[in-house]
Amino acid sequence: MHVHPYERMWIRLSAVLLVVFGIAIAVSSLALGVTIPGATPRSVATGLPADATPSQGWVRELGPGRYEVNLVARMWGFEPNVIRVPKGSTVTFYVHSQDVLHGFKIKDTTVSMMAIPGQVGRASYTFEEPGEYLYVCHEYCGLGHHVMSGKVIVE
Amino acid sequence: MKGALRIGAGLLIAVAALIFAFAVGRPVQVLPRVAPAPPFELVDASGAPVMAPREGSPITLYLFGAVRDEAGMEQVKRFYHEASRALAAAGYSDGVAFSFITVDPDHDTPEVLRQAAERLAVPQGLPLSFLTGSWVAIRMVVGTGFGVYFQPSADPELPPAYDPAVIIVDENHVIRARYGLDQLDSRTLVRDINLLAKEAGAKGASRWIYEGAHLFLCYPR
Repeated sequence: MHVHPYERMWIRLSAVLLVVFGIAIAVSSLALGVTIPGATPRSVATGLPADATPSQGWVRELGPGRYEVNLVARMWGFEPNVIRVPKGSTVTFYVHSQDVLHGFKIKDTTVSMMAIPGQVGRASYTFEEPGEYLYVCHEYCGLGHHVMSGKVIVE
Repeated sequence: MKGALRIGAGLLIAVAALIFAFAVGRPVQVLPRVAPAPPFELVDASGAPVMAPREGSPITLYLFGAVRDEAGMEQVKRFYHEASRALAAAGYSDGVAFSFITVDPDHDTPEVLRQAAERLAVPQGLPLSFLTGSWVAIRMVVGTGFGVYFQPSADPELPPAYDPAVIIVDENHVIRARYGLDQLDSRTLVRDINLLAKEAGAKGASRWIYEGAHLFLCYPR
């Protein structure tokens, strides 16, 4: 069968990439101990505030213009679901899930992450413009997924 | 033409494989550049002003607490003694310093801090400075700058509530790591200081390798 040399080259390149990815998966899982998330808490990042636990959501001021939010996601809502901060504040979110996989995305910002049971997601964002920033669950999590939302009110 | 294409493709694959090996194997590791540490002007236990950043600063471990919080101070003392011992054993008798910033500035005057410093002193200990300042300055430095939570108690007789934390700041006044005070063991601390010292000592081409390590998030696990 005749195969055009360019096509042959790309087939070879694709095969090499498959081998590279295969090796990457093997190295990650066997040598580096990377595993897919499970029900058991796998990792808790160091340096988390002592109260950043999945038991309760809160917002607290660290100092002028700096806030922390411990955000708990559960079927089908966020706690807290309204966060008020002054304009120009930098907010660090610690995101937990109490049950299944959820998502956490704040519209019109760069904050977008998964809320994985047993793990803590962390993201910071500076809200320069006043307004209401909707946050939603963007990982399908069941019947009430579409009502799972909250908002950051920047005053 | 065909040969040149093959050589080009081969080179491309070799470079990709090298980059991949570097990112996965992480032969060079660095601590993340978390954020710039806050600039400040506070006073030490002798009442002398202390400013940061300043030229020639050592790697500094910032600790936070209140002298009235006896359990917390005991934890700070234990940490400082163990960390001093471990760092001295690893050859860091200089180049690393500790700074304790009070979260209870209304109570922790320079005189109170001087007495606390005497209680914490250890013969072979690394330099340890105790810093205080006005409430606003402490709020800006500890809360807004370092991102460490503290809140005065409703009862003025009680010390403030706070998160005991250790923050490692490099010689360029950049935050490189943050731990809970009870989370940081001596082995991890020495590893982190080793990484910072190696990175600080990198010159010429090796400097770029360290920048590559930052690019590929080659952080210790």
